[in-house]
Amino acid sequence: MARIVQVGAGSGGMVVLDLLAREPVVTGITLIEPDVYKPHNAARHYFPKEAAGVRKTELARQWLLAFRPDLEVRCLEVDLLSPQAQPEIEEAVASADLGVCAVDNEQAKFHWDALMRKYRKPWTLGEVLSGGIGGFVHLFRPDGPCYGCVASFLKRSVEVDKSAPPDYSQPGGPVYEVTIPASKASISVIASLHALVTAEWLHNPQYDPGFTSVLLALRKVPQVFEEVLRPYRFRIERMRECLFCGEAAQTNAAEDLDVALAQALDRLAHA
Amino acid sequence: MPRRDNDREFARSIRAMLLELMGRHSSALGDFLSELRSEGLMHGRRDEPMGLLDSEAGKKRLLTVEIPAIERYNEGRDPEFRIRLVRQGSNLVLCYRLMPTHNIYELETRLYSSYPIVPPETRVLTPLRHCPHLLEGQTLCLWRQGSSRQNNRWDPARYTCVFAVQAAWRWLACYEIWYDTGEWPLPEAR
Ligand SMILES: [Zn+2]
Repeated sequence: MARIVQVGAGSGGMVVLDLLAREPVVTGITLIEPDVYKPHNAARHYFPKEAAGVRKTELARQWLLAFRPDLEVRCLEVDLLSPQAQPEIEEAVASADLGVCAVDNEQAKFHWDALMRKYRKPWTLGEVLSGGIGGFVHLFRPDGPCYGCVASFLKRSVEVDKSAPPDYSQPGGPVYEVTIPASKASISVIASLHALVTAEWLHNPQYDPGFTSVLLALRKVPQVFEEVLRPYRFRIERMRECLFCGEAAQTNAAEDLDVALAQALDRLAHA
Repeated sequence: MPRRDNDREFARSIRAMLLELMGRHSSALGDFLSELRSEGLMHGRRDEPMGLLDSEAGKKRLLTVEIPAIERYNEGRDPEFRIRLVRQGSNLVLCYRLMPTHNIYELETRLYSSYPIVPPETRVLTPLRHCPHLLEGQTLCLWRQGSSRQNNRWDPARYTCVFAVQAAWRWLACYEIWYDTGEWPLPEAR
């Protein structure tokens, strides 16, 4: 008997949702997703082009209820970062047993992490690398490393992007960024792995697969992945000096944040 | 937004429709979708995302990490070289002067609403000679400004805005060497 709260029902999120809903242990799902289904989604998603214009939450809900009519599905058609939506998002997080993050924007991942730590909920995250060359699945425990710790560790120790650095010979030229879309197969492999570890964790709260993050190489890429289908397991520790979850950030901020902030800003405006 | 009373019935019809779609395409689908649209069930809510100055996490970050770091930097420093912190809309701007060797430069480091996830941006206000590692508007190229974790060197779990000030100091020290010798001393902008 578990309720999960998931953010994101894109091409990967929908796979995770579908697989988790097939686990009898999952009795309730709250889905946070603001987007409306678009015709171009059909290439990597579950629904046909004709579903364009319908909210993804609504499509997902009907999909899940088709094989799990007993499932309690709650939908929040809101942006995770919307200030107005925070009370209902926090309520959903507080009443869940585990969080599932299936969004690919950094701001949203950090915010999700802050919510999960605030309510001390375990959570999992799946990430598909650009071009679908591989992907990560991460497990976060309330007392373990936060997303900031993990991102920092991986930034320092794993290189998975060999794209060209900015063109310094043309300062002021366009700053371009190429994100190569991943294939549906790559997305599904990583999303399935994400669902697998999440389901194991739901069955067994003491679940320890021997890693906190796993990187699965799906394609051979020179200087990045020398072998196909090779997993790299990481047991990432919490950073004591982490600016999100470490000692400094734990120091109790003033009771009234707004007053304290206004005072501090006033002080530093005249430094 | 409270769900409407007829939602359940509505949902049932969507499900029936989807089940049908999985088998064969229905010609009634167009009508059905326009019905959905008219019911106002097609759009999620969107508003300005929360940021540094209007989210709990942002305010705590400022109060427990960034402001103490600026205050430590300013402590005992000649007033002329202290960091001033100015609010500009939803951004915060650090205004300061640096003197890496013999020249004084005026700078500003901007913390956008999406800071600290998105790196700060530093501009030199003092006119510079055109040189490598300088972007439009005399913005320093200090971190690869990609939006994903993999292509961006900024580390919000370890760096504060004062780190950006120190990085600007190193950059200017390189600039002065480049000015004298024509060689940028570090292989990569840092
Ligand atoms: Zn941390």
